[in-house]
Amino acid sequence: MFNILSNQLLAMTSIPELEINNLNKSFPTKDGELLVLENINMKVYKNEFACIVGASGCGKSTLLNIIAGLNQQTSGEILLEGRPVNGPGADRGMVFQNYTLYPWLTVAENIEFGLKLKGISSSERKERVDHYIEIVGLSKFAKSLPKTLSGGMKQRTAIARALANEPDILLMDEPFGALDAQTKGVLQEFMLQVWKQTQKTILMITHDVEEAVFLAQRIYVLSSRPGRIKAEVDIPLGVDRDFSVKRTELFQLVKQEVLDLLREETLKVISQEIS
Amino acid sequence: MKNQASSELSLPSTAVGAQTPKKSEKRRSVFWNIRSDIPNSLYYLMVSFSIVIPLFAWSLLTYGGFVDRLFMPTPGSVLMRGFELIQNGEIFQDIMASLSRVAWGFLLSAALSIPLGLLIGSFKTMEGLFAPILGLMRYMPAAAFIPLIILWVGLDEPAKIVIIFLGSFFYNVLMVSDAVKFVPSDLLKVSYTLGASRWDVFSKVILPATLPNIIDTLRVNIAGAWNFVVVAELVAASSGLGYRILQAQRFLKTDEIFVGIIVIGLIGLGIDFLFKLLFRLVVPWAIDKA
Ligand SMILES: Nc1ncnc2c1ncn2[C@@H]1O[C@H](COP(=O)(O)OP(=O)(O)O)[C@@H](O)[C@H]1O
Ligand SMILES: [Mg+2]
Repeated sequence: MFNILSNQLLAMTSIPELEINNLNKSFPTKDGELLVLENINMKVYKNEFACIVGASGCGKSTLLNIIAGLNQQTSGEILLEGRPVNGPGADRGMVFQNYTLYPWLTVAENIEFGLKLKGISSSERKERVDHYIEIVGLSKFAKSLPKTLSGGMKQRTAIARALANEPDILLMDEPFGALDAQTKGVLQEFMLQVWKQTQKTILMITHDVEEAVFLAQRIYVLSSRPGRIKAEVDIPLGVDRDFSVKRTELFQLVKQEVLDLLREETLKVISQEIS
Repeated sequence: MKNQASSELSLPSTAVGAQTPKKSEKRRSVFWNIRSDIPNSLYYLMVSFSIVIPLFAWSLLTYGGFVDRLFMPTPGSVLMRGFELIQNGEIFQDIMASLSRVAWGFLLSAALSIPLGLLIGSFKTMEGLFAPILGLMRYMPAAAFIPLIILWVGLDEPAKIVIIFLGSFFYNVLMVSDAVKFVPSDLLKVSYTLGASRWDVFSKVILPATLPNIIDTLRVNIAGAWNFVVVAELVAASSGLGYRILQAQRFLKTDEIFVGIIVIGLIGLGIDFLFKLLFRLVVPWAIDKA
């Protein structure tokens, strides 16, 4: 129906949606500079669903914040559709793990928030809100306050709010990290559907390897302390996946490959901590 | 809550342990349940104790002749005096005089302290500029400024308003600026990625997000301001509840002092209730129970 695969092949040959070149980031601390990200080079192509996996504390959030323009890199460049990124903007939507809905606004008003800032006419706002609230399946809860929603519904609202702004790329920082296993599984499938339906370019961070393999077309594995791109893994599972793919041998194989890569990092960190 | 009431009603016996447990399993008393619900009946029993016991002690002391009635009037005479003051309308004049002073002083204080608190909480520069001096001022008792205020402002209405202002301003600023720190930083971050400017974040995120805390801050601090009105009315007032109490003392009308103090307390309770109502009306989204 949506011919994504051919789109994607087409896109791969053109310029990437997001390109990061030689990016470094260090934080000043009491004991001098703490190098968190070292020589990051990566690309995310149009309509692609890419994931970054890495152990906690390896700099994933820092990287995503820099891409979002919420934090400044120490050196290196970030290009969005070829243009350098400078500061935050509505062209890069963001979904965080927690606590990011406006509790005083209803679901519909939350989704509308960015559209109002953009000065979009109220009739178009209504149209877009209706559209995206439908996509995330919350039409019945349009007038509900966030406090009345479950964790999964809150995250779906946050996703709709980011999508309604129609950003060039959707950035997600462990969006399902705070959810219980069942809800998480359902939302992963939901996310795949949203991706197919909206044909968005998505860059998602997770420490959950299974989640990354299930969702991504490509995975970047980040090393620990400092964070470097340790490996880039293409996920040969196609575009049309559902939950049953997790039981296939290929899925398990790829998952094991990524896990092995991460395990080395975890061992490295632990031995650092011991010594 | 209610369905527990029938089985666990016997509070004194379980608490005192008069009934020896028949089986080896020991029933734990409901009375000392830590941070959990108790039967409604028990709760309201405790509430009634809190009113009845002091009233009983007061009655016993006065009617029983244990204290001189000149220094401590009986509940009956206080009630009588209260009715008299209501009937001749004097008490209402005093109430209005005190209320208007508190209203002006506190409105002024709120109007300045809320924006200042938001600025200090939001911007490190403003924190550096204002926090040290305000922190120092907060520890200087407003009452100690009264002589200075009389010299500078005089003895009239403005002096009382300034005293109430000083008594509440610094706490308002501190608590409002603290409220800003409770806004999750991811909420601010996500706003930027939705296209918000700094001004948008300040006015459309920080302001509404802190509003429940601001209303609560005002509720807590107006209690202080209301207490301060008595202090303010020590300064050459010719009306107000503080003035009434002072006059009563001069003529040894202890019953009238009691009436004044009780009225101050009841009005304070009323103000508190109004702020809680305001909270429910203005920020219903911040009420815990869905
Ligand atoms: N503002 C900061 N100042 C100093 N160190 C920081 C700061 N932010 C993050 N760090 C450090 O950078 C490292 C990476 O953090 P983060 O990006 O949050 O990791 P992740 O999201 O992968 O768990 C951590 O060791 C953290 O302590
Ligand atoms: Mg993180």
